[in-house]
Amino acid sequence: MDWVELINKHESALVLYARQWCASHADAEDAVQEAFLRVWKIYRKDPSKWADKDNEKDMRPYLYRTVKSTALDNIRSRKRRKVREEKAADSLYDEEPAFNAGLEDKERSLMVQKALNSIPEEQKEVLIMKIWGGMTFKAISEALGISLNTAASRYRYGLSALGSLIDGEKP
Amino acid sequence: MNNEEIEKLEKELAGLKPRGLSAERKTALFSEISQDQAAGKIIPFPSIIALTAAAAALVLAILFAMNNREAGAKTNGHELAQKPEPVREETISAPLPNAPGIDTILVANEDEGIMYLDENTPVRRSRYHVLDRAQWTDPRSGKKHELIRPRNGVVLTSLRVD
Repeated sequence: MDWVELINKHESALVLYARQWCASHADAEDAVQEAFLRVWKIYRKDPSKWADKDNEKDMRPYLYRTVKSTALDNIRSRKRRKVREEKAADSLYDEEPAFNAGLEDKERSLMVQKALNSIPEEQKEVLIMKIWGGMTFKAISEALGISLNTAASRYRYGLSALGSLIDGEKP
Repeated sequence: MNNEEIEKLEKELAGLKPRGLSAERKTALFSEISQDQAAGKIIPFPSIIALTAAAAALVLAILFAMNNREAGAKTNGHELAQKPEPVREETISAPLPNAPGIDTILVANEDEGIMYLDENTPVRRSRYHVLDRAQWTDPRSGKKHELIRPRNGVVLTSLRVD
């Protein structure tokens, strides 16, 4: 498996995915970097175990699960942080752009980001995996441990909610 | 939302590119994986047994050859083989960066915007981050090493002015 290609192809969607549990973009990057290393170390120990998963499409559910668990582990380990530090980080975090956008679509991308932060986590997860991760509902259901129908309906509800929020933001 | 609106929204969202890992982080990640990969290649457990067996066979072959040579020298009264030249320190060299045989992996390419060389010469400045990776065998020990060097540089692309 070409790990350079795998990382290059999925890192940006995974960082967006991790952001929902992280206090800053840098923390989301930490979680993704750590998750890739965790998955790599498991893969390296015995690549033959992954023979039936030896392509990037099959690795995706595992990658997303690992990113989520790494981000949640990091939250638990940061609980010692002072509350005011967390609050300061949260207020800054809202202003950190989640998308690479040029001047012409910067406003629109911030609108999408704000709307994305407002929809329920379970819908957001499915939306990110489907739209930016390019995953099928089958792969999403595998990653989240839910049924195909649940994945599809969360996507539909999430997309409708996102659409309404974005339209509501229009000047 | 009807299907048409949903499709339109899906298309618009897919057109947005999420901010990913910074070039520095990607370089660090690739570097760590490459080094780990190289380290893993050196001694997997089954290879230790195979290497030990090969080393034992080699020792036996050398002893056998030396025995034969001594026997031959006694019978002919001549030295049959010359001692091999010891490997000298200055003959050992690792590959230089950008030398042939080095793999270069593009880690990231950052657009740093447009700048002007002079009033009429706009150029687009992009910074690339790469990892140079080379395998090298130490002639003294026969051990394989992997050299990994992160590197970055700037490329200026001229822009047409109408």
